[in-house]
Amino acid sequence: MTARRIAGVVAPVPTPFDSRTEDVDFAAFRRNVVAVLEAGADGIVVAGSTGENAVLTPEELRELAAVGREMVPASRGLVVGSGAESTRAARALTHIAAEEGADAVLVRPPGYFGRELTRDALGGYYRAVAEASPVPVFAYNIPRYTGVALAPELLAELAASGHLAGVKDSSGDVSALSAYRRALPGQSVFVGSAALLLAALELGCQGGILAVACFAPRLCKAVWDAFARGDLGAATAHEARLGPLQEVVTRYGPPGVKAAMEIAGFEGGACRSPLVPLTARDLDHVRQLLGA
Amino acid sequence: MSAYARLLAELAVPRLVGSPGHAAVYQRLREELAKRGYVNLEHEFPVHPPGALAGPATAGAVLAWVCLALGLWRTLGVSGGLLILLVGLAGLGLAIALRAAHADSRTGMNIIAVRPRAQVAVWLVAHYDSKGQPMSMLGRLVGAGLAALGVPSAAALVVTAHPLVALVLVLPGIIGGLVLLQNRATNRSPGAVDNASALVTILATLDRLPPQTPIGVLFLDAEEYGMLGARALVRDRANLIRGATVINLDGIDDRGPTRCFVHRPGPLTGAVAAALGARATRALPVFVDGLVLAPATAECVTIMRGDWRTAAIVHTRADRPERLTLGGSELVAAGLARALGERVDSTSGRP
Repeated sequence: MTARRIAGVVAPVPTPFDSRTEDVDFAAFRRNVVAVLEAGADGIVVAGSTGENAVLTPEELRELAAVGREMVPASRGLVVGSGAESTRAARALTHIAAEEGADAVLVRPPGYFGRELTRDALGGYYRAVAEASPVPVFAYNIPRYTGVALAPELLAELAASGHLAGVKDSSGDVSALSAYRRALPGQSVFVGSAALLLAALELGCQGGILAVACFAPRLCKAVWDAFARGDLGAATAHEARLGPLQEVVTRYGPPGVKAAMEIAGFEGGACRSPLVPLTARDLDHVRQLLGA
Repeated sequence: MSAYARLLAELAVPRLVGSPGHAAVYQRLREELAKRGYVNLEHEFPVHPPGALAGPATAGAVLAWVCLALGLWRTLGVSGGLLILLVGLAGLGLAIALRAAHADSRTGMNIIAVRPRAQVAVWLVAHYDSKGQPMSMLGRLVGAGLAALGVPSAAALVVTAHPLVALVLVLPGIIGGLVLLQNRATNRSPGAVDNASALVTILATLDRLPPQTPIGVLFLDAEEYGMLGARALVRDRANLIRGATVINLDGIDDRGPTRCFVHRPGPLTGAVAAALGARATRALPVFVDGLVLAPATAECVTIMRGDWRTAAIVHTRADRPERLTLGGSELVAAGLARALGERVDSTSGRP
């Protein structure tokens, strides 16, 4: 309903789990949301990839979205990940997200049958979700996890028919990002890689939905602020520090992000099985990357 | 009988929050919105209605306390008067605490309706609950006025000793207090003007606009218990109305002038007032949802239509659908559709 005001640095807040019971630790989630907002994040994503969307139940997603709405002020954006393995499930999750007050939803394509999905099938999936969605729909391109790369031409068609408010691209490929930007001139395009944040802003993207913003929100915001005031020198200097942190995300996924959050003073919490915590060696590497 | 009149007859049933009529109207409104391509979202919130005797008891206690304090002021002096005031305040606090502890708990349900893929810039708003009272809104307003008059009159007792003058001075306050003693909520008013006709007007407005017009609908609950639905919306979902225009309809009668009470002015509220041929004013004699919603919006207006005879039937059993032709509703719907059709860009969703 208000997609246009979602812009800037958006943090896809992880879902902390209790290490013993694997229940969602809502108290830690609340504290993390408050912390990233206080650090300047322009909004949050609940139950995105970093939020371990794939292992959440619909009830947990509803509760997380409700907590997110409670914590995120009206002036900042709340996006909820509502993609699923079936169109029916994605529509249901989208409705739940909207009911709990999401400003928009981030919808990944189905992955299990990814190879079987023709362009028409993918288009049908997004059309069906958007036609039932009370809130704007953002497509989520994350081939690393779904095995499906969303074609810019398909997204252009969906945008032209009013089914798409924008896209988040987590491919890590600047040429793909550039293609989305060209294909969706009137929609929002977000980058998912902190290493490409400055490049994305130069391409005219609306901002970044960055897992790195969960453990280095001020640095992400510094790039955005410097670019916004036209200080490219400072933006480049901040980006030079920010870029290497993306390795935490690309190499280690949600366990890496959670470990980095713990190191940075946030509450990463445990992952839900089958994901496991980092090994001691990997943890050392994350510490090195963070300069801790 | 037109389709709108039939719908009014279905909606104008006693529907105090938590009553069977309330549940039926909630369901009926969802169906009507779905027929028009809307997706309905539920927004649940707790409602703790005051007990049946809470209003009269509070009004009576406050009045007795004020009269007692002011009456004994002369006898006991300043310190005695202050002591009585403090005792009164403590008693009132205790009454409020007891009321909260023994409050009945119900669930209120706002309906948030949007068309998929629409970027809502304008919300049409009306409350869908109703309440009855032993006295009409007009009677209540008169009573409140007299009670308010009673406080300075009673204060004048301090300087007069003549019993007849004293009686004349306290009489308005006593009458006002007696009127306010009747201030309790019942489920006896069908609430045709307050506010079923506004619900119909909103649906009729939607029917006059192209389906792609990006207008959202908020049918709010528990207005009659102190605008609880609007308060909950602002508390939980201010993101919906932030930066948007809210047009609240509350009481659309056949007769009387149309009034636009502008809570937060702007170009669209001005255009709405002009299209309705109504003078935009800021003063409002009653509490409405628009007052609560306005601070979170870009523009906000409440539209009412009626006169003193309307106020005389609101909250009574006489507020029935049979007395309405919906002529006023038709005029308001036509004016609103004209203003919104001209001003709201159906492609961008921005006024």
